Amino acid sequence: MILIGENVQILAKVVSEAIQSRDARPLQELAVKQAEAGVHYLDLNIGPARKNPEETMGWLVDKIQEVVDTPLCLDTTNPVAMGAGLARCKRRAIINSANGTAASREKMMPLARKYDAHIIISVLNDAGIPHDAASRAESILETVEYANGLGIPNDDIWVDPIMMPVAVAQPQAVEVLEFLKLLPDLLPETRSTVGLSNLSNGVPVRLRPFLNRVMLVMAQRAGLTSAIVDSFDHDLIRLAGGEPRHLVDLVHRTMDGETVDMASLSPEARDVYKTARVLLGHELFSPSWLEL
Amino acid sequence: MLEGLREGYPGTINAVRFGREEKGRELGGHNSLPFHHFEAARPNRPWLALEVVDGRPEDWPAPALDRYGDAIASPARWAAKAAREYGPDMIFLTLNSIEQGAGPAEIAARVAATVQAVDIPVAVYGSGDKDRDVPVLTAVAQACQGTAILLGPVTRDAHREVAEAARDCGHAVIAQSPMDVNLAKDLNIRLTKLLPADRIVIDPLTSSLGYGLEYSYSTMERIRLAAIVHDDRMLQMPIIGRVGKEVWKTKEAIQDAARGVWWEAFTAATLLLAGADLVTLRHPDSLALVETTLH
Repeated sequence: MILIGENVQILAKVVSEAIQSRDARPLQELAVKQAEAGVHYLDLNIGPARKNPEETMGWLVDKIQEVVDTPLCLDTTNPVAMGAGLARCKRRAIINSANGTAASREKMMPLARKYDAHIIISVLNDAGIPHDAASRAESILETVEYANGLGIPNDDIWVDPIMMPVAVAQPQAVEVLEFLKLLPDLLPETRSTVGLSNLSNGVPVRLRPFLNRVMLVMAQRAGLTSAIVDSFDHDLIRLAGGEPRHLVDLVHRTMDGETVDMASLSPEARDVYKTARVLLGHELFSPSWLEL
Repeated sequence: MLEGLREGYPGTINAVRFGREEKGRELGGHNSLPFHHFEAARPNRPWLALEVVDGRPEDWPAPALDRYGDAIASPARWAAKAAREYGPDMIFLTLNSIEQGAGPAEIAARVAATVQAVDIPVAVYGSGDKDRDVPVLTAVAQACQGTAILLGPVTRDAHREVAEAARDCGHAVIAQSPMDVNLAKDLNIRLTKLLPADRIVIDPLTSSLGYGLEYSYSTMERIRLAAIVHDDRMLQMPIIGRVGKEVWKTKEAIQDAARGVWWEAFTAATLLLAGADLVTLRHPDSLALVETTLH
């Protein structure tokens, strides 16, 4: 499981302020701490970057590369910023992200060839976000075919099925899992990744990691090869490495339909089991799901 | 032959008991989808409540008040007249006087008199302003001990005091959440730590025909399917649709009372189809129309 650290991202106040005032120190600290936490790539999310896109991404890439040699995952919807950042990356970077919309095909995808980068391609297309596994498959087949036509090989493509918030669209978690199981047959050699934390958007902050962790274990079992994650969720990173084994097994058994006697579980395992049941659609989500 | 085709469902809606011991009546208690009479008998039909208010009925248009004449000066007389002349299953008393400056003791005494004035169950609904409602509703709970009324609203942000008062005094609460099945469940999880599940009625908020009725419908439908088909115990509470207040603030109802009656009856009947177990109405003619529809 390749982990991409999400913590340099524009929605965080400390990040947006540091970028705005060109104060590299807090960003460099975040980068170093994430690298120490063991993630394999660092995501640099500057948002749409309407003002000074080239200068902003270029500056950020330079400053981060001063302090870490972890490869970068450049995260912006602005192709000008993306190009400027890719031109300065010392190691092979990831483009985060392209999709099936006309604008993205035209402006974002060609950068993968031009700068010899990996590219995340999501299932989004001009019709929106597909609502089930089959329509995700349909969308991505078409988009990847287009990318292949530009000379981007499957093993440079990281397919993003788009993780929806469980508080808004609970059934989507299962659709993402189903899609991930299909992917190796649909598009051999492609990799996959998800913006994991979006799953728990809208859920009280204290509870978010429970959902993220269990979903990661389930998605990994369904074939997910990478995820964009909170680098500072130590337990999440351990789970991605298969530890602790008994919790990973519990999630797998729940996925296999086994009914577990809750009384036999430790409080920690009980939370994992309850969360897996919610994500699998066995229990209707509510923000108090752990208290049931 | 039809026997073999009949669907059975795992979930049953809680039966919530209201009223004084000797005259108690139950709301809910079924384990079938709305109007699926061919699948299972329903022990209690849906309830049609008539709304009354204490204080001045400032948000009521004249046509809905005309039937009651000078009885509207007193909620006890108003409720008695409504119960006697139109035969509702429940009186739904909204406490307008909270906003008009009345104190908890005064209001509670009036509510107790209203409850005594009728033989049918009573619901008591506050202003929606939690700071003003909590002292009033807790006082009402105490003043009406032993009469098993329905009290509300309680919300995620303000539920503990009223729920505890309802528990201690033998009442039920209206659990209000903003048109979201997940949040309705969340509030019930919280409330069931304070009082039994069969002391809760879900209020997922009502919109009138033409003003988002589809959203109310789909939320209620999802709550019912989760409760009956998927056996979700935290959603197996009867549902209330507060129809009258929503309908009689629309321009369609205000401008033309005859149209308002149809508007109200249609909104109510639609919510009954979605899974509401109790709807509140302002105009007696709407009650008669929905009654006819039910038969």
